[in-house]
Amino acid sequence: MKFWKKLFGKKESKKEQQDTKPYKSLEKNLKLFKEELLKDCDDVVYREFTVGKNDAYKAAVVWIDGLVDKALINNFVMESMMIDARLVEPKPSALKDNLVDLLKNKTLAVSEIGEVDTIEDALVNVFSGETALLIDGYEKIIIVNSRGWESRGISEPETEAVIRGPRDGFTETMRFNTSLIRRRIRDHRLKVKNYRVGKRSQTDIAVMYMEDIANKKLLQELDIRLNNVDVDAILDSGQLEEFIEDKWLSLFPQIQNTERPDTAASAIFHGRVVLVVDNTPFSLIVPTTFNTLMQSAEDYYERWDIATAIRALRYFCILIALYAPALYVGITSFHPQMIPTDLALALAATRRSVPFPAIVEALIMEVTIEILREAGVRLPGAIGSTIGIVGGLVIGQAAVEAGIVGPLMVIVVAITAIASFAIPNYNLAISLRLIRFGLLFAAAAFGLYGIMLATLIILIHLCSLKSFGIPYLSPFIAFVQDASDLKDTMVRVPHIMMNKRDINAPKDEKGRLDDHQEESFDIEEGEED
Amino acid sequence: MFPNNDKVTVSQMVTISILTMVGIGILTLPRELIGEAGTDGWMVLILGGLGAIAVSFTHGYIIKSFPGKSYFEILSITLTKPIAYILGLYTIIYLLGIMSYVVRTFGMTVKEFLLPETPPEFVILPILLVSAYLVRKGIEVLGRMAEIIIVPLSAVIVILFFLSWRNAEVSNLLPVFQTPSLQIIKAVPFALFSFLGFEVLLVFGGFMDKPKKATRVGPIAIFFVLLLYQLLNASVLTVLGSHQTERLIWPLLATFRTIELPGAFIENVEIFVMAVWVFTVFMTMVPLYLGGCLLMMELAGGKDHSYYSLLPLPFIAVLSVWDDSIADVYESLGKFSDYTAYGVVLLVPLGILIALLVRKRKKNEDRTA
Repeated sequence: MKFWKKLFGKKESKKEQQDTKPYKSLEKNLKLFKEELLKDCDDVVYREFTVGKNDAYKAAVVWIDGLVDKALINNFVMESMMIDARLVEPKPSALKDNLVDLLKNKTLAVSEIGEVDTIEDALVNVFSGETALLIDGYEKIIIVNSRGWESRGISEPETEAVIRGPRDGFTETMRFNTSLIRRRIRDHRLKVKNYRVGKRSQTDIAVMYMEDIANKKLLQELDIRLNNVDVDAILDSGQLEEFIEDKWLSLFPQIQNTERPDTAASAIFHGRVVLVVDNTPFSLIVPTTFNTLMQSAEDYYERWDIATAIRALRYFCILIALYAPALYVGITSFHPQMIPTDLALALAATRRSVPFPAIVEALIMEVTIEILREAGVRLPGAIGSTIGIVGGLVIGQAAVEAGIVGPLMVIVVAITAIASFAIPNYNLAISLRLIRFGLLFAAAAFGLYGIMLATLIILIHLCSLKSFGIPYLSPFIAFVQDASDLKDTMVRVPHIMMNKRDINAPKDEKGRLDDHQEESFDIEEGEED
Repeated sequence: MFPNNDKVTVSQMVTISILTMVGIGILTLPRELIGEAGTDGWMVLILGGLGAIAVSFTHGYIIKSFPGKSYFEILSITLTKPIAYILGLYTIIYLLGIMSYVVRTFGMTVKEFLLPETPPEFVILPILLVSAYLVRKGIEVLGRMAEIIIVPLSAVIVILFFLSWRNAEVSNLLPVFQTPSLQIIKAVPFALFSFLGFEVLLVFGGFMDKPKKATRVGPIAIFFVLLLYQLLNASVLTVLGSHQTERLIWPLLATFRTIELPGAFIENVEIFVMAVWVFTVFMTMVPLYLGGCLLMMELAGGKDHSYYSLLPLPFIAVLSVWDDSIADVYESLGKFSDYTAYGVVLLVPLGILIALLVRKRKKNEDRTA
């Protein structure tokens, strides 16, 4: 086995490192393209032409149909080289020595031009939508920036809708997304570093961060992790997330994703790092804590007292989403004495006709609602809402009337489902859905004691999690040390009081605002004195 | 980049100490205080607290003198290696023994209040397994757990006490200053032991990120626990009266049982009481358990304590179901702590301290010579 591994391992690594130098002759290069590398790639377009008054120089452009802006190639590459270049006769010496410089600097009227040394680099560029310009007798390949494909326009993000706040969302094109962030951060310290991940997909990833606020160690670690991703394709940031997160075994998302440029920009301002992945509107933000998953962009745009109330409500919703069915099962089957006698009697009366133990009753309803939810997500809008009505109203009602579940159980399940939708982060919400079943079984086995033990397990797990070195439950787990970080957790204090950056920023870069209100505002009290 | 650095902050160490202390004595404290000094128990508590602060200060001083060194290393530096092995074993027996008593009492309360028909073994085993899980994760996670749990826990406890005051009779606190001073002084060692648990600082001190502040940990923690105990003692006395308190096995739980919220959704607050109780006991067990495992690892010469986390579990489980009745449990707990606690909390640190001073003096002499 080892022998084979060695053999194949070597072979593979050889293949990866292949660097083919372009030939000097244009003909040979084109032959290489047409008959070897890009054989049977019918979406590749070749255009050969001659340059100069005497048609002395042969050249060719290669691009992929559909990925390039054809008008740009026609007007500023082909026209410049084939027509404009013939109008002026350059000095013979210039022609002899620096034909390429002449072309690059004086002829091609395109804003962005590059050169590559190897065929492989040229191909990657061509596949990204650039145009390769090959010139006879020149050993490098000129890359003309001509990206221009059909893309979805900027539209409102669907997963993180807000009532008040910007309406633009990321799209599938990485460059649009980075520009959306750049528009919000006009600072030379905002850095955008490009990575390519995926051996075959060669997906572009832009790592964006504030040079002075972001943690240097975090950037190093991110660099290591990104370079270590050795997979053939990254199709969405979700795949990348799994490759670079700390513990892929955990149920909890350790990397936040967002469709909102304002959320991404705000993260950058707090010293976090944003990864914009090509071909997906979801960008990643690291490091992520449980707390950041509970924040919504709107919290910062609404008044602080309202935002605080909503935050508190969300945490309450987490409790409901996790515990409501488990408590129902635990109390009805182990501790009926814990609820008021009248309620216990009423509950017993409604459950009299139910032939199952509480856990089975709960499982029936929970599984039903999970099926409904899944069906509703996959179906187009109109049918989806029909499913909701049929499932929610009809099945619930019928199940109660048929006497297989108690009416209180239906209420509990419905509230649980709604509460889990109130959690702003979808990733977190689906994790909690799964954990709820665990709690349900714990409650069925040991009642309230089981629920508490399960809670302890969840807490231990959460406490042990880290996202890129930041404890997942920070700042709650060290609230004496990071007391100022608590200002943006279950409460959202007024902006004027959020004067420090959180745990992600280095110690000497904590300050983010100086309060000038009192000295410069025209407040009436001051005038009276 | 960020290795699992196994460090606890000062505040996390304080919370670990607080939680360890609370779980051991809280259930029976009022009853025993009355037994020792009647209604003057609060004086005994204060004196005992002051004594505990003094003792824990010396513990902190030891940790401060050997920054970053584990307890076993400290023992072997000061008292030579063979003695260190013996004392290490002694400490392990103490930690795990106390833990199994905590587990036993806990199993009984759960049986009484939550699961009357479940055999105690099945109550004890799950929580032991869960604590083994936390022990595997190590001191860093324990520190975080302690700090995240303490706020909701103390909030619920204080609210419970407030609610219990509906039935309070303040005159139950009287008479004061009636107990002869000799009797009070005699009761102080007992009160000192109601603060047992602060000695985990000795075992965990090597993990502190700022060992220079180690002397603060014990006093701060004991101060908070003293406040809690005073509140507890006063509440139980005012609600139940001294005569009734003396006759109850778990006067604290009885006090909370008197709470009634007529008209509210939850009429009695037992669910919150038991939630608090499970969490408190858990956070008492785990530091003892982890301390035992860490020492075991060092004695056996391993590098990762998580391999040892399941090893003592059967012994603890057997020990914790050893006694037949609650009375037996409390009696043998008293005997056990007589034999071990004095040694671990007082004598061994004293020995280290003396060795430390001798070493220092020797160093000074060497320098002057």
